[in-house]
Amino acid sequence: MKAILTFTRSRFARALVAGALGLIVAAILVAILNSAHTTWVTPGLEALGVQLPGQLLDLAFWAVAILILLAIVVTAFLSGFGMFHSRRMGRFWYYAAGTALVWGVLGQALTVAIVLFISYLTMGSDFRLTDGNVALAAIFSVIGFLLFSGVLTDWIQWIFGHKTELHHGAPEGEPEWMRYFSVDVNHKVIGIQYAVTSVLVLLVGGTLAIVFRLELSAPGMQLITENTYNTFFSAHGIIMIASILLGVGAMVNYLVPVMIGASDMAFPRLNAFSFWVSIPAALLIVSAMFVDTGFDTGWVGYPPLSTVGSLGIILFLLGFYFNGFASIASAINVLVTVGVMRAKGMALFRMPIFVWTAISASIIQFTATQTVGVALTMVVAQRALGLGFFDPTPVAAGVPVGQPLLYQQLFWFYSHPVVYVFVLPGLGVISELLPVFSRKPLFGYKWVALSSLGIALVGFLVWAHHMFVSGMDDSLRIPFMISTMFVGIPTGVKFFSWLGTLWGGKIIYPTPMLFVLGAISVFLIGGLTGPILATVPTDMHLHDSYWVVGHFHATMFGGFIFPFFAALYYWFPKITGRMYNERLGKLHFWLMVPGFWVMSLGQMRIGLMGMRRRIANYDPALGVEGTQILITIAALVIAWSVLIMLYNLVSSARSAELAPENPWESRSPEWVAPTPLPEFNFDRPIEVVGDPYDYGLADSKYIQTIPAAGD
Amino acid sequence: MQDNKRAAYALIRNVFLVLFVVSLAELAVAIYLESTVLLLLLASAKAVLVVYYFMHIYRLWRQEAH
Amino acid sequence: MSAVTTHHDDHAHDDTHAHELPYGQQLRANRLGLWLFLFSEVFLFVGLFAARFYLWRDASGVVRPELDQVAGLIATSVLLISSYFMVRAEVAVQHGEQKKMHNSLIMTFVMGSLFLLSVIFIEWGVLDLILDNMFGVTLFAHEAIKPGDGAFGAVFYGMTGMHALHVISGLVLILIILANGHKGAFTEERHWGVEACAVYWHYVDVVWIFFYPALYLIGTAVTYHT
Repeated sequence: MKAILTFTRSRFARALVAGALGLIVAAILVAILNSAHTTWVTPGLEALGVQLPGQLLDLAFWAVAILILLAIVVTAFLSGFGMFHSRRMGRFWYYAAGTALVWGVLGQALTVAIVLFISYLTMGSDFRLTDGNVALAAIFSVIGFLLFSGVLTDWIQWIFGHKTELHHGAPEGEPEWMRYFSVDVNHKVIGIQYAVTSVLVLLVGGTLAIVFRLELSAPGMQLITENTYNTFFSAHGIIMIASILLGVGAMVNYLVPVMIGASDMAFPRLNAFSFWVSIPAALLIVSAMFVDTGFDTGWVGYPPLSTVGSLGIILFLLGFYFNGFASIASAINVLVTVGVMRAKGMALFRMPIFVWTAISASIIQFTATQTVGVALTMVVAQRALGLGFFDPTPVAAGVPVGQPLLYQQLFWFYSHPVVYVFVLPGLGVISELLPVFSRKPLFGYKWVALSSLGIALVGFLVWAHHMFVSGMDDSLRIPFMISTMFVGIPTGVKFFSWLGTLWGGKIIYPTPMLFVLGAISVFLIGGLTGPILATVPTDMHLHDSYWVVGHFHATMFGGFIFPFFAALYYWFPKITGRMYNERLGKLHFWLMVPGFWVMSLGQMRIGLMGMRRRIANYDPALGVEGTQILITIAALVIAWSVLIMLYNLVSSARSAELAPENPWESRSPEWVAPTPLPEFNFDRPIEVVGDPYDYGLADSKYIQTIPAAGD
Repeated sequence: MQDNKRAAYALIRNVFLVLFVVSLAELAVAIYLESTVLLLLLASAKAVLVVYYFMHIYRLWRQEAH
Repeated sequence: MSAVTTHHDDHAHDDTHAHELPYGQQLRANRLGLWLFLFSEVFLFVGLFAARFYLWRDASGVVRPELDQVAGLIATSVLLISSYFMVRAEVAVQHGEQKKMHNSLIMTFVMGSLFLLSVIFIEWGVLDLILDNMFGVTLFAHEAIKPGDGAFGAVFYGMTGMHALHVISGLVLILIILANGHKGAFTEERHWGVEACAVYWHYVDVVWIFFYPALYLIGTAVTYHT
């Protein structure tokens, strides 16, 4: 055990990793060159009438390609030893080979190779990708990633009876910024890792959306094939969900421990595990697009299609499944942290309101996620092991058979509540920021706190409203219609609290506040269109139409995207110590809000006109073409505005002026603590002596530092 | 201390015996009464015994002395 | 851009603000975390349990496959006995009886392994398969169910398989506890490892407490030979 650990930290191991990374990069480069060579160079020379003897050109190409490959691998390998350190390229290979990310990805690739090789040994010349070996490779690849990235190292040492201490700060012998690429246990580092990954994944999902949005702007097929379209919209759904879960993880991880006055999460190693397990999961989902014919089931993965379709579906299912690990572990961590790590005097009803929403979201995450896990496992088990959970083929007299509807029951028992996991932290950000920018107490604190729990609990009783037209028992329709309507009550509480907080306040409008107000307007659109879908007769007409797409995007943007962007702007000075550019922030807002209104209302309009969701082509006679173009333009505007935000945040983090300690004059613990936050959040322990949102009340205090005994 | 110890061992042994008897009772119920409700009730009773006496769920809301 | 300052101060020595949590607080956190994890797993098993009642139905109501009752009773009893030895190990470590703890853990491991073997060889019919192939003998009254036997096979293997996975992980945990206990890692006051392993093992037993009637006892028996 010790010997392995010493080896992994040696220069030689680093050089090997650098070399392997170099090999992968070089292989990709050669593949690109090869396709350029066969598609352009050879035909091009022929067209010019240049005659070359025999295979001379091919030989020359491969000679050059192998030279490039060797040069890259050797450079990378030597850079791993610390050579070429004065050059940018050398430093790149050197540091890359030290990151948990690269180690993990190599571990994942290696495990896939090993599993497929063993499968090749057993299958011999009949070797091909099957349900079984793809599933096994995917499952082991996640373990490979975790082992190689070092997430499990401490725990493995515990198994052998060695005690390990939590390591704080940069890895030994590495610069400070390497923390963000390493397995770090500090909740703030993990929060930032989550946030950056979330935004990157958001860009991937957004790019897919832009492609199929362009395809939809006219009837007929222009840009992509039907199959690519199916893969893209399916991947867009699940990739965005992964991104949102990462974004929720970012806000919850960064904020909850500071807000309750704790030094870190209750289980810092588990916290690192939650983040790192979502990376191989995300890689599985992305790779699902390229294996076999991609995956065309939509993000829901309903059988029977998912049990017989492309092999990529298995990768998607397992990627989804391992994302659940991250959700469950992180939710348990949050609940325990709030349970046992609150500062002195931090009673439940004195916590910042965001913490309440984090708890409510966690309650859903750590329970409901298991049921979707069951559903996904069942599909994989049916494909790989032949357990016919969803297979209605008759077997023998008296023997019951599988039912595809079972999947939908289990799936929606998770997947309806999970939208509240997405929106609750977002709604928490709205409630958190409104008092700061209205300089008034949060209206009805206790009601708002309990409304989050209410949404979480009612959310468990509404899943079958997704199945009104699925062929389930008719008698279930009315009860689920009524229970769904109940969601409106706690949500209404939140809306009235927001109005009450704004009423008579001294409102100021910096970018975060604008995004909060935008979020409320968009969430209102999403909220009001919900009951129409919850009502059985109208749902019969609107089910699987673009109305659903409009409604869903309005709730996701209003409940998550807008508040998340508000949070990014609002806590940016805390995270980086610098102020973002206010002008660019406002530009982002004024592009994105109208863009979104047009997009969402346009989607609802074409839905009413009969546009089905999830289809690549449509009949020009529907008369939706004009609106489709409008929606596409709006989507492009939104995409550009997000890029503006990224430019703003990145450039401001590098060179903007330093921000004041507490630019928003907030009373919350994270703003009272120094900037940047110390490793353990507070130099001295804090104590809660008042209520969190008494803005404008003279002499009121929320927290104070407990003086040390010696002072 | 010695008494405490003996009592602790006696307790778990008795709980185990009860669990065993209830398991046999389950089989009898299944054969003679065929009552789903009763079977689920018996299972729940067994679960409660295990959760309380074997898993010590009460430790969750008890402050540890040491 | 650095969100976290490098840490040079001396507040590491401040007792109320130490970075590793004090043992009592960490123990509370561990317990709460473990129980929340188990509660989370309830939803996994309830999902399977619900699938059983969803699929094992016909026009007359709830049905079950005709399984070998002796095999079921043996498996149930063996797991219950293992649970007894596990709690005995915990009581032993609480009273400083290392030897007794060690022996009880070994008994738990043996009983747990027996359960696992009974699942694989008897319930899944591997033993009958071997005996039948090698000697042409059938030991049990009912031929074991096969994965392809419609909803019977799917749910039976799904439930016993998912439970067996937990049994295997529990056995691994027991081995780890045994090895570390041998090195004297657990004392009368501090034995969170044993406690956690015990709670997990009992939980696996609780799951079986519900799975046993669901698989073997509830509903009208149907012969499933295909």
